[in-house]
Amino acid sequence: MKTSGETIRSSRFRLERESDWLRLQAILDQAERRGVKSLAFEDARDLVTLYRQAVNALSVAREISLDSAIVAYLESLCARAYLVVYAPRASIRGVVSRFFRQGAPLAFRRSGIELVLAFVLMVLGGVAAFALTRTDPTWFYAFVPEGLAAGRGPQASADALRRVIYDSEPGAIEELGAFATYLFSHNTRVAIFSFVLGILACVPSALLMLYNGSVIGALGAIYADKGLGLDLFAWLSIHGVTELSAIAIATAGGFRLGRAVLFPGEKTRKAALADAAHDAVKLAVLAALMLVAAGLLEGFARQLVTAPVWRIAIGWSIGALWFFWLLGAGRQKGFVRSRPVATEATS
Amino acid sequence: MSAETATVKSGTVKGGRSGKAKAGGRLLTIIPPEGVPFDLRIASLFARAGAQIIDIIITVGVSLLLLAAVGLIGSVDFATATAIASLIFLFIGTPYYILAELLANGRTPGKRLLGIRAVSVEGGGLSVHQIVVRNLLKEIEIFTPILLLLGATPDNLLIPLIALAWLIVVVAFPAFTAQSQRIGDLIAGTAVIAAPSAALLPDLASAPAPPSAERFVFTPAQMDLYGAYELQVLEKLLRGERNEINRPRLSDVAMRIRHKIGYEETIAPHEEEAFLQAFYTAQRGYLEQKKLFGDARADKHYGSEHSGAD
Repeated sequence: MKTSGETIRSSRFRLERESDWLRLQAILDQAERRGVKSLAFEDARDLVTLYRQAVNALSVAREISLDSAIVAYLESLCARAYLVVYAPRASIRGVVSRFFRQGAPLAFRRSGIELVLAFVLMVLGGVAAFALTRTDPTWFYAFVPEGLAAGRGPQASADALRRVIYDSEPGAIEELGAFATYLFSHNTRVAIFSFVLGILACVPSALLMLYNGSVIGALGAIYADKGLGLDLFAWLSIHGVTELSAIAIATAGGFRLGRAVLFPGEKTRKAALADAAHDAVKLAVLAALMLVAAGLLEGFARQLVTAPVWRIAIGWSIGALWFFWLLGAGRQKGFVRSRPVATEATS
Repeated sequence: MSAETATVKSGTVKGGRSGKAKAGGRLLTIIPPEGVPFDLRIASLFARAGAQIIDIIITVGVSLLLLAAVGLIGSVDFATATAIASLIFLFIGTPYYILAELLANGRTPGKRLLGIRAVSVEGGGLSVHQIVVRNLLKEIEIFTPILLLLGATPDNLLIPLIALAWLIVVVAFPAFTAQSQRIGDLIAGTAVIAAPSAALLPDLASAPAPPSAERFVFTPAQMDLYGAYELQVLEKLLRGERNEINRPRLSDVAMRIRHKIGYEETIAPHEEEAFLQAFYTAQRGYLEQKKLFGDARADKHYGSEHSGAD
C-alpha cells in the first residue's frame, strides 16, 4: 500500500486552503498591531469571509485530519480572527452620548422606588439626629466622627462655627481645604460602600444612608442652636444638593442589586443580579460623575461665593438641572417602562 | 457509546487532550456564533499580576504628574496632598482601564505588553457593559482596600485589618474559580486569556521524502496495530529538533515499531528517520481512511474497547 502527501485526504485539504489561512494570518497580524482601521479595503472586506472559511476548515479538519499541528494552528487562527471580528465596535463618543442621552436617565427613572427609599432614609436619619441633638447636645458625638467634626461641636463658639462657613480668617482656608477634601473622599467612600454593600440584601446600604443623614442632622442641630441654621443650609446647599443626591443615587443602585437578591422573581438569583446590574452600574457611573461635579463646586464655587442667598440659589438650581436632565432626557414615542428585550444582548 | 464520545472532538485525541489541559494551564471553551467551539488558554495569574503592575505604574505616574501640577498652583500640606492624590488616582484609574479596554478590544497597555486580553466567556464580543462592570469592580475589589491600607493609622486598626482580609480573599479568589476569574470577571461574565498564537507547521506527510523512503511499504495488517494517539506521539517526535537526546530516542522508536509490526528488513541507522517518516505517512493515510468510513481509532487499544462494549 502506497501513500504520500498527494493521496492523503487531509494533506490535499490543507494544500487547497493554506494560502487563504496565511492571508488571514497576515491580516490579523496587522489588525492586532495597528487596529482594524489600518486595514486596506480588500483586507477589511475579506476578513469576515476568510474567518468563516477558517472556522469551517477547523470543523472539517477535526473530523478528517489526524495531523495535530494543523488542528492546533487552525484553532489558534480561528480564535485570533474571532477576537478581531467580534470586537466591541462602539466608539467612545457613541458610548458617552448614549449614556447621557438615554442610559443614565432611563436607568434613573427605572429605579424610582429605590431612589425615593434612599432619600427618605437619609431625611429620616437627619430628622432623628436633629431632634436628638437638640434635646441633648452630647448626642452630637455619637453621630459625627472626630475627623469630620474638625473642631465643630456643641462647645464651639458661634464665632468659630461662623468662621468655618465663611473663611473669614486666612488661616482657616487651609484647614477648610483639608476638610473639604476629607468630606469629599469620605462621601465618595460612603457612595462606594453603599453601592457595593447593597448586594447584601440592602441592609448595610440602608444603615449607611441613615447614618449619613444623621451626620448632617447633628451638625444642623449645633448650628441651629447658635442661630446659624440658614448659613449652614446655604453652605451645604451649594455642593450638598449634588453630593447628597449622588450618594442617594449610588445607594439606589445598591438597592437595585439587593432587590434582585431578595426578590429574584422567576429568574435565578444570578440572572436577576446580572439583569439588575445593567441599571445599577449606570447609576454608579452617574453617581461618580455627580461626585466629581460636587467636588468642583466644593473646591471652587463655595470658596468664591460667600453670600448665603447665592450659595442657595446656585446649589439648588444645579440640583434642578440634574433633575430635569434625569427626568426629561431619553423620552421616546411610546414611553419605555422596562428595558426592551431586543437591546438586552447589545447594551 | 464510548467510541462515539471518543470521536466527538477527534482532531485531537482524548488522552492527549487532558494532558494538554494539564500542561498548558486552564482552558476556556468558547462557542462563537458560527457554532464551532475552540479552546483558549487562560492567562496565568503571574501574567495578570504583571499587567496590573504595569497599568498601576502608568496611572500612578499620570496621577503624580497631576499632583505635581496641583502642588505648583498652591502649596498644600501633607494631609490634603494625600487626600487629593487618592482622589486623582480614583478618578484616573477606572476611566483609564475602561477606555483602554474599549479602544484596544480588552487589552490595557499592561495586558498588551504581556500578551493577555479580556474576553467574554459566552461567544460574542466583549460588550461595553461588561468592560464597565469588570473595571468598576476592580476599583472596589483592589484599589479601595489598598487605599484604605495606605491610609491606616496606628490608633484605628480595625478598618485596615478588614481591608487586608478582603484583599487576601480577592487575590486568592481566582485560584478557586474554573477559569481563574476574579469577582469582577465572574459578575461581568468575562475571563482573561493568553492571546492565541501558533505558527503553521509544515505538513509531515507532504514533506519531500528521501528517495530511500520509497522502498518502505507496509501492509494493512501492520498498520492495524496503532491508533491516532500513537500517530500523534510519533508526529511530535518527528517535529522535534534533532539533537543528542532525540537521536537515540528516534532509533529506539524505530526499533520498537519494527518489532511490533513485524517488519522483516533490518534498518540501517542512517535510514531510521526515513523509515519513521514513511511509516507516519502510511499510518496517517490508513487511519484517516478508516475514520472516514466510521472506524475511528483513538489509540492502540481500540479493539479491546470495542469487544468490551459489545
